[in-house]
Amino acid sequence: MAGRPDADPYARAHIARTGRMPLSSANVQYFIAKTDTQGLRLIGTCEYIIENTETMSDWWSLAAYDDNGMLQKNNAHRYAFNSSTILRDTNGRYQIRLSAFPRSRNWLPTNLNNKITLMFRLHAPASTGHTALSNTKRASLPTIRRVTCG
Amino acid sequence: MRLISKLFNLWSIYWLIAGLLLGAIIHLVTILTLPHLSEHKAWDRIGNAYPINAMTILPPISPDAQPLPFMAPDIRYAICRYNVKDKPLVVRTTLLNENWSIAVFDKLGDNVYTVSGANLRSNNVDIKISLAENDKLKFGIRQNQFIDSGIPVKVNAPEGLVMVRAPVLSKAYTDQAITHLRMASCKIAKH
Repeated sequence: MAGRPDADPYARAHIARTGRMPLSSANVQYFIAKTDTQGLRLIGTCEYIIENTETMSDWWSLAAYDDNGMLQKNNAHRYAFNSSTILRDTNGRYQIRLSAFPRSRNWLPTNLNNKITLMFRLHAPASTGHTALSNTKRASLPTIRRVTCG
Repeated sequence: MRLISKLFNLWSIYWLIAGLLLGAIIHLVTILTLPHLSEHKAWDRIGNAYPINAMTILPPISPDAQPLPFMAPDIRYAICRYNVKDKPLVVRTTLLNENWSIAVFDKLGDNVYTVSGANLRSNNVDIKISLAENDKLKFGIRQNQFIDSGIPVKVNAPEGLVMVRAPVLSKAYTDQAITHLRMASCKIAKH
């Protein structure tokens, strides 16, 4: 219910504290990840693989931020991937390498010194509402697997 | 001694309950007043950064140009800081595809109104923002009766922000997005 006048008081307080301007959840859903699949905090000294098989036709975008929601500087000037820019294999599966060091294919650079927060935006204009969006898309969220830590 | 011990235990329970109640009240008051008191709201961060009642296209979102947390680097934004204290405001834009959207926020950060390209039959959208209290009958005449077209959006506070979001599918589409964002306008209504 974030981003709506009838949002619950906790959602409104959260938005006021973070300074975001989210759209109504009927149009876009925002998913934030601060931990990997094992529940460990995402940090810049580790490398991660974010993967999913794309079954949805809606436009999505995934970006990496620091702990305060700010983009992290990198020499590649690459800050996000979306469903239009991602490279997939023939099965529709994609992998994003989240690493401070250059990687082939879908490399999303991170900063060694920072904690990482990932935001996955799912634009679902064809959905009829919050509940429909939640029910149909949750299973389609990517997983975040830790590969190595330096 | 037993009586004193019993009384002490009874008082402990009373204090415990009173403490819990006080904690719950403080918690609720904090949650409910945070949108009003927080100095980290979007309005507090960028409210004074843009001209009033004019559309401003933001530069591409990057670490050096990110006015708000969690802005998307693959979305181009245009912002209009509005003030409808005296007269309604007309916002016109094109929503190029189903993922484009325009949203009206009040000062507290509440999303008062949103429409995306998917919700429209035409790509063009007209929104008329007016202060709800100005819409009351005055001498039998509805004050905003001259607003005869567009989507009416009534706001309870005169100031806020309008944000147009233009997801850019890839860099090749950037010029197209900017061309359409430049056509967006945010002007005080003539009547």
